[in-house]
Amino acid sequence: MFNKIIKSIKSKINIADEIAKSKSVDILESEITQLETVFSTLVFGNFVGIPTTPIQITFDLLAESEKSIEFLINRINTQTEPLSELASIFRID
Amino acid sequence: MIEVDIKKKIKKYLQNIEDDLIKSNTSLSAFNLLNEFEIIKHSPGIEEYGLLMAYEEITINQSDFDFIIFDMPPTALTLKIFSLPTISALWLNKLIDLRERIKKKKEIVSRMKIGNTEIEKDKILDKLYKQKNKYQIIEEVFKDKSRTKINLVVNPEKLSINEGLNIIKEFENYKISINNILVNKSVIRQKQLQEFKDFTQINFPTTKSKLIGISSLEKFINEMDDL
Repeated sequence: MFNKIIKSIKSKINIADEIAKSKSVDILESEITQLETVFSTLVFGNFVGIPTTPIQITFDLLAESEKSIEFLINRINTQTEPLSELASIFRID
Repeated sequence: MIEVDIKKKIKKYLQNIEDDLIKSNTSLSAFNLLNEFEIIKHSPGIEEYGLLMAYEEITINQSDFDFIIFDMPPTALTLKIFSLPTISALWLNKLIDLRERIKKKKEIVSRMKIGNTEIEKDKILDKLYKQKNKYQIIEEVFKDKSRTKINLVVNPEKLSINEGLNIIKEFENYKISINNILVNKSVIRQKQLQEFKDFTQINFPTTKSKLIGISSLEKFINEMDDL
C-alpha cells in the first residue's frame, strides 16, 4: 500500500516535471524566435528600407541566410496577432 | 603604380557572393545579383567597401615592398574607408552577441528536449567571426602609427584648412592619428600654419613643371632643398 502511494506520488511529480519542462521549452523557444526576428531584421532590414548593418555584412551572410529570410517572411503572418501568439506560448485557452 | 578600378572590384565581389549562393545551393541563388549590377553598385556603402577590398588586396599582393603609398582625395569617401573597419566591427560585435545568445538558448532547449547539448553548427556565427577577424586586422593596421602614416594634404587657404581640421577631428573619433600636414601650393618661405601647429608641416611650393616621373620629382626635391 505504502509503495503504491510512493509510486503514485513519484509519477505525479514526474508528470508535473514534464509539464514544467515543456512550458519552459515553449518560453525559451519563443525567446529564440524573438531573438531570431531581431537578428534577421538587423541584417536584412536594408531590403525593406530599415537602416541597418553595413551592406557588405548583409551580402557576406547571404549564402547562409536562407533560413533567416524564410523565418522573416513567416513572421509577417503572425506579426499582426501578437496577443494570440502570447496566448499560445502560455497555453491560455 | 596601380589605379583601382572600383567597378571591376564591385563586380568581382558580387560574383563571389553569387558563387557562394550557388555553392550553398539555396533558393537565394535566384537573386542573380550580377544582373542587377547597375543598381547594386550604387548601394550605400558598396563603393567604400570595394576600395577597402582593393586596399586589402594590394597590401597582400605587394607585401614585398618597403612602403605602399595610397593617394586618396581628402573627401567623405576616404573618411568612410578609414571608418569602415571600426563601424563594421561595432556592428559585428552586436550581431555576434545576439547570435551567441540564440546559440546558448538553443543548447538549453536541446538539452531539455533530448538531453543533448550538441546542436547544429551555426554557419552564420562562423561567418560573423571571420568578418570580425578581417576588420580587426585592417583596423589594427590603420591605428598602428608604426605601420600606417597618414599625411594630410591642405592648401594654405581658409576652406581647405577648415576641411583639414574637420578631417583630423573625424579621424580622432576612430582613434586614427595624422602624422604630417603637407601644405600644397605654398609660397616661398611659407610660415607654419597655426591651425596645425601640433603637427609636422612640410611645404610644397607651386611648380611650373609637371611633376611626372622620377627625374622630375628628384629635380623638384633638389629645388626645394635649395630654398
